[in-house]
Amino acid sequence: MLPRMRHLDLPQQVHNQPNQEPMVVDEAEATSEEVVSVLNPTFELEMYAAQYTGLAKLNRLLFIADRCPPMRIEALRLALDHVMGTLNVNKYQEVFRKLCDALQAANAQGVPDVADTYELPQVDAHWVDSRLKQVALKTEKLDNDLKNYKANSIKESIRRGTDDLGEHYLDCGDLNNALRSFARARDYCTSGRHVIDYCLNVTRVSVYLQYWQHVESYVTKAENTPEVIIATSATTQAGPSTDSVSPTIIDKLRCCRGIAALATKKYKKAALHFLQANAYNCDFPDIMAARDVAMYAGLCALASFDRAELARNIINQQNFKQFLELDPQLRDIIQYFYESRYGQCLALLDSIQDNLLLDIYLAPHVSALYGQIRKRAWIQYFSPYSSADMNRMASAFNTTVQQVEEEIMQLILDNQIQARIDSQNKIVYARDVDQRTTTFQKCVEIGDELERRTKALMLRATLIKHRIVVKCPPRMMATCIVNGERENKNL
Amino acid sequence: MSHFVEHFVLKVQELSGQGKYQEISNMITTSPMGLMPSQISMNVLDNALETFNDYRHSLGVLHILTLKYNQFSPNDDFELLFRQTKSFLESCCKEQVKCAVDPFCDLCHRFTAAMVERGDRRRAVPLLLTAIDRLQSSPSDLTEIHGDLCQLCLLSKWFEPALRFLDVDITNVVRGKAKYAAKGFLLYFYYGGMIYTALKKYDKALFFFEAAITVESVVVSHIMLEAYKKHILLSLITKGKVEPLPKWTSSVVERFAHQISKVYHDLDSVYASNSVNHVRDFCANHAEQFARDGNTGLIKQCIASISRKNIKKLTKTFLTLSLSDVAQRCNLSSAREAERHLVNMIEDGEIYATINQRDGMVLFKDSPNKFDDPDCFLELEQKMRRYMDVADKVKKLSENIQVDPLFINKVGANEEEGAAGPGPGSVSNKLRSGSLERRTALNPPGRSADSDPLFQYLGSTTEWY
Repeated sequence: MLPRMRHLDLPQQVHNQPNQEPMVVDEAEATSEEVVSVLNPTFELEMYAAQYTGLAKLNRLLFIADRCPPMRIEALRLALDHVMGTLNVNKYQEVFRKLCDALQAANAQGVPDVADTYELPQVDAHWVDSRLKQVALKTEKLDNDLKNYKANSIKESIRRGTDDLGEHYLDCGDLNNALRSFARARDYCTSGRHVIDYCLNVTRVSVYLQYWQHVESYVTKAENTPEVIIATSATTQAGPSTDSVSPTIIDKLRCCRGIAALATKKYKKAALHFLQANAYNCDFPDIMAARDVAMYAGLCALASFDRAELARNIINQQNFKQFLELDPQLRDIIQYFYESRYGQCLALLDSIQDNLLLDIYLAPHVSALYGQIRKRAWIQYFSPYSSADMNRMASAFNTTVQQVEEEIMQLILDNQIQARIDSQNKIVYARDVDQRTTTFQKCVEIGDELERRTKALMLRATLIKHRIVVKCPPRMMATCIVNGERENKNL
Repeated sequence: MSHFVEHFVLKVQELSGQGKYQEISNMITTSPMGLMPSQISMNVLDNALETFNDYRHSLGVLHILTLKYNQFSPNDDFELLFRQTKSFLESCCKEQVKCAVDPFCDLCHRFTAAMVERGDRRRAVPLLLTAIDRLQSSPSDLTEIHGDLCQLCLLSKWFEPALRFLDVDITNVVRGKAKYAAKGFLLYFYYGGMIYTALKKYDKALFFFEAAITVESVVVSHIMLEAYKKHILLSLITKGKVEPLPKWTSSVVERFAHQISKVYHDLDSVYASNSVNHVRDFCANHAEQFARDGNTGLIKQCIASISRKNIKKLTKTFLTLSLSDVAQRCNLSSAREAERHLVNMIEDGEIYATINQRDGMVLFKDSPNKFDDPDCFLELEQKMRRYMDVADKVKKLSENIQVDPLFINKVGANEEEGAAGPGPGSVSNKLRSGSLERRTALNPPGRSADSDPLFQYLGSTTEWY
């Protein structure tokens, strides 16, 4: 099955929103990569959206609206509904504008029954005004409160004040200010719990802003607090005591770290981080849903684990099985891969590709992950054989012999498979490397290199000893060198 | 004016008789005759030359000849001067010449230049061989005249005389007191590289170009720049990519040579695409610049080397492949051309393969060399002996440095400065140098550059002298 994608032929929408909008970062990335539009997603948008809250929901819906024309209008409507519940006026206007554009486009295409139902909504000017006022009032109030607290210099109140202000900014969609006020809480943390809260807040905003380095450093910071260390070791021993950090927070930290690793293309690390999370505790809809954790972990693991690791960390892992139940397709994919039924596995992967391309964090990595999974499949497929028929390989992978030859050739060149191709009979032979010969060859190579470099160094030593240095000569000599140069050119 | 000359002749004869060569040399550098050479007529100089004996009064002859070269105009008859130079070079006294290295080298440069101008190169080669011999105390000494010799050999396409010197590892340098002497040595490396390139001994050529590029420098000379360009082309031809220069390359080279020879670096990135057509187009677009640098021939070889590189890559992945597939994968025009390339490469021993013409298939094989026949062991043994020789040489150099008073002073000073060394004086020093020496012998010197005394020494020599 071919991935159903085509390049977006709609004109890029121009946004002139202020810088602090989170989507700006995302869009900058998206335009630098290939912007693909997805035509056939196979999930229910409303159910999908229900898994998330807050900015996560908004960002994901807008991402889908950008990437997926068939769902654009529905996604924008959901986003609009959601944004009405917040103080995020900028976003409201942006979503509204997009929705209008989308509706106009739909009407222009002249799909009659669609055009009938979709009439252009009106800007809720009253809402905008009241919200703007509300925002200004609340900002002022919180600012004043914070000033009072500071005047009284009670640490706990100041901390709460900065956090409240941060939450408020977050609600308004002003992420940079939110990050700033959350970060200000650092000086007023008095216990490990506070530090964790503070790190968590900063991490959350950094995830929205996609500042992955921030995410990693703050998660590390949080994980180094004694409370988290006790909690992580306690989960393995006794039940959690009332005082300790809730496992949800720990899982949240791990997942944030996982996303950061994923975003920076460290797939194996990402998989390990996600795998540490527990399915029961994965309840943080303001960042991602439990199903996402399963998907991220599963794909990263397939792309970066070898067979033994896969068995140990995924197939035989009770904890992760619960995750996999959330997404049966993924479970089948992993199972097929493990059972070496690569054709089915790859076909299933292709069928969910469209959905993955609509995931805000996974989308830029889908092709890379798929490529690695495919490579891994080839390597595993070939590993037990000393010779393999390319026709049968092609049928096992649902592809042509020509394609098999290309891919195997690339793998051999990358030194992933030790084999050679008999193009006449279409057979791949594993290469038996003669250790003795290669050792000899290597020795001779290294010896020659040693000889060459040593001689170069000795020559250099001699020259330096006699102070032969190319210096800027006085005028007269300069012409000499230029003359020398002319001689060379005459040769 | 002639009484100046007479006075000079007498003085030289007197001092030569007493064996005070250094004094003559000093006198020459301060001689008033040096200041107004154009005022002395050729005849007078010739007469003075007559009164000298080439062997006994070498310094005097050297000076007079230098004056003659100064006055010499291109239209004059060169034959007499040639004969005089020849007789001087053939019979001059080694001991005296060593007191005046700079004027002697200068004379050789001028002689070479005159011979190059006259297109009469072969005749000069044996003379320069003698000249080098006059300056050398051992065959591994490098002189400024080496460069002249290489130039003449290259121009006359007669490489054997130069190879005799190029194949020797340099361990010492003979140079005068002139401050800016690097040019002669740079030219030696550059021309040496060109000679090896002409002989298609690319490894050695690369070595020489690298030597030219990595000479300690505070500015980039044109010679280094040209060597840099040729180094890039040769690396592409032999290795298919440009390897980074050694880390001891002066930073100015990295900075300026890279900027100035940008086209060559672009060529490198185009080359990495492994596509003959791309590279060919690129070279055609910049043909003028390559021609200006005199690198057209190398560029052609560069283009040809891509197909070879691509074919070599196929041998790694395929056991059998049809000729048409080879052609298609390597961007060759036809199966016939692919076959031609393959046959050439098989003959050159670059790949091991057989061509089955009936099916139009190529069967690639591994190298038949299994390292199990006596010839091979002989070769290995020779190689090992060479490596050991090199190691010995390093050891010797290291030992020389350890007994060098300057080095000992420096190390001692460092220790005192650091105030960390507890044991004063000789015992700890000895122990330390012992361990250093062992390290030198064990490690490949290229790797342990920082810890070796040889390199400590290199790092700070400039300050000591």
